[in-house]
Amino acid sequence: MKLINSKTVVVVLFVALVSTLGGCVPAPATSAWSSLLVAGDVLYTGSQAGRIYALNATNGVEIWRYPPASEKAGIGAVQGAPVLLDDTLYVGSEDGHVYALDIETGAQRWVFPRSDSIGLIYADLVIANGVLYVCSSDNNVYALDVADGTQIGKFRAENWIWGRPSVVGDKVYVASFDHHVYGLDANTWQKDWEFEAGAAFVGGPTVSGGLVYCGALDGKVYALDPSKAVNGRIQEPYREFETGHWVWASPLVVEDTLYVGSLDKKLYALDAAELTRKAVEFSTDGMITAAPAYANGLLYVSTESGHLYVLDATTLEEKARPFEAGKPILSSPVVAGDSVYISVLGDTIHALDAQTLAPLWPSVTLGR
Amino acid sequence: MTQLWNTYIFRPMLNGLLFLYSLLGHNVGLSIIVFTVLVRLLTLPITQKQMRSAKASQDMQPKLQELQKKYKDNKEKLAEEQMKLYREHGINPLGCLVPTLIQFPIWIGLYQSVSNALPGNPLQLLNLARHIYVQFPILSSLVPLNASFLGLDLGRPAPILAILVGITMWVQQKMMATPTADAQQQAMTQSMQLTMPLMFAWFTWNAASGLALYFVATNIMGVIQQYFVIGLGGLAPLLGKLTSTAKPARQKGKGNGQKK
Repeated sequence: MKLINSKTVVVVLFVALVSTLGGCVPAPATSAWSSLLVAGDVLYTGSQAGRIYALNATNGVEIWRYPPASEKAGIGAVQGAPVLLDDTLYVGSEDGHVYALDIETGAQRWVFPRSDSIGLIYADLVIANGVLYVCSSDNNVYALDVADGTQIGKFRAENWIWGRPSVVGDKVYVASFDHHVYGLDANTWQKDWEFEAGAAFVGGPTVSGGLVYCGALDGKVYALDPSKAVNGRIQEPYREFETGHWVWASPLVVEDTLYVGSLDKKLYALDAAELTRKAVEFSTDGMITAAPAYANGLLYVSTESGHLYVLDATTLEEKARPFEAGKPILSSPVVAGDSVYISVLGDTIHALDAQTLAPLWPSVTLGR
Repeated sequence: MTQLWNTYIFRPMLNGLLFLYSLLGHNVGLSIIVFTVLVRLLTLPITQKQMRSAKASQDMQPKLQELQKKYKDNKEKLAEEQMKLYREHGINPLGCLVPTLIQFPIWIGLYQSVSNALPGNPLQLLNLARHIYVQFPILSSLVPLNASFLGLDLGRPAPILAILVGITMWVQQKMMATPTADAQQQAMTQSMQLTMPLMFAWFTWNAASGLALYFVATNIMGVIQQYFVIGLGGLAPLLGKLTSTAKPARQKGKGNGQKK
């Protein structure tokens, strides 16, 4: 009888363990997901492979990409939605840079910072009053001159800022992983007030009717009244509403209704003033990580299970059969005219009919 | 299968780690170490059995070598006599395999817990959201964990910890090694003693250093446990050589001192 060498088997098992552990390491290529911007007949998006694309929104044909295909290396992955002003497109990247590109050709106009880099950028960029606002994982929100990328001001929180800022007049509102929402003066970059919640904020705040709304990882969405700040602090939220899981996405306000998507797989329609339910919440089959999109009385809700739902904005009843993308849809849908556009994890873009969710053109997967 | 794994192994371990973090002053490094120690203590009966089996096998080596000499031309008889010897000593030659297999899911669960507890990007954070016990609000309030520990960011790679992984694993492997008369087996053992630490060091070189800290902690625990069960094992001859070369050097040093 031949003996099995136990040591050999142990060695084989160890090698199996190492392989298993190796297999468990998250793939470094994908760390986030891409968002969209549609302006006119052009769709702009970034990819996880570090390219920025301009596609024809009517047929999905590529117009240009940055860096161009002739350049082997891309920039860092792009998660946040680009923003457009006049003839310049602004994009933030995971490589810690903001790129300003010519919308006709994709040629670079400027890059911020010119040397070195800031922290990873996951937030949508925002332009208000000629100023570009950029939130970063280095805990800062930066204000840049749109003309040349010169830094005008910045504010430092105590932890990452992954959500886009909201700007109303000369006030800037940001929410951070440090559990705080901040109200800032856009001229002095001084903090007007702060509010501390029981958990981190991932998504950015939404401002409407004098209230600041923000969802947190304690599962709550808060309504804050800046006029109630005493000695630079808002002690208590004006109102709060609790969901069954983390609130990741920024809330959406349409007239007097606040729409909140939660990782509990539900979309809530709340009275914006009281944060009480206006309709029975809509249950999806996946976590909701992105704000819904609204157009013409319809709401478009994307989920991590790969579904896009179209709902009646008043009753939250389904208006069409959901679209199945097959992969997570983690960014917000974008509605333009009669079309709704989604970016699916893995950088596949779909264009759908806004009423029926039927595909308008074959999906496009962005290359490297 | 994945759901069973997540429900019974991964999620309890991940949330246990988060709970420890909340108890231990929000120190993630300390939490990983204490967590590793606790899991090693829980698996102590299994690992003790494994080590005792290894020790008994080590003690049998002279007799096995004798048998190998005696029946070098009769492989069948050799195998028969070896089995007999194992039976006489009450050892199952594959006895250390079962405990190793049982520990596998625990190691993988620990590994997953450490790597998921320190999300550095949105997809990793979303993965944590899938597995955190949201019914305990205190756990969600801890996110993101403060990854700094002794000047290191445990969410990022730290070469120093990867090197320590290699060294501690080598020490552990060396202690576990049993002498054998079979030259081929001996060569393979020696090769593995070097390859495994190098593989793990390479593996942790680019990973979040929280993982490397876990490997260092678990290796050190293993070394301590092995020391009390089987002694220095294969490390003893090496330490002997070191001390014997150190002694004359010290004496020489003293002589010089006296001369002055």
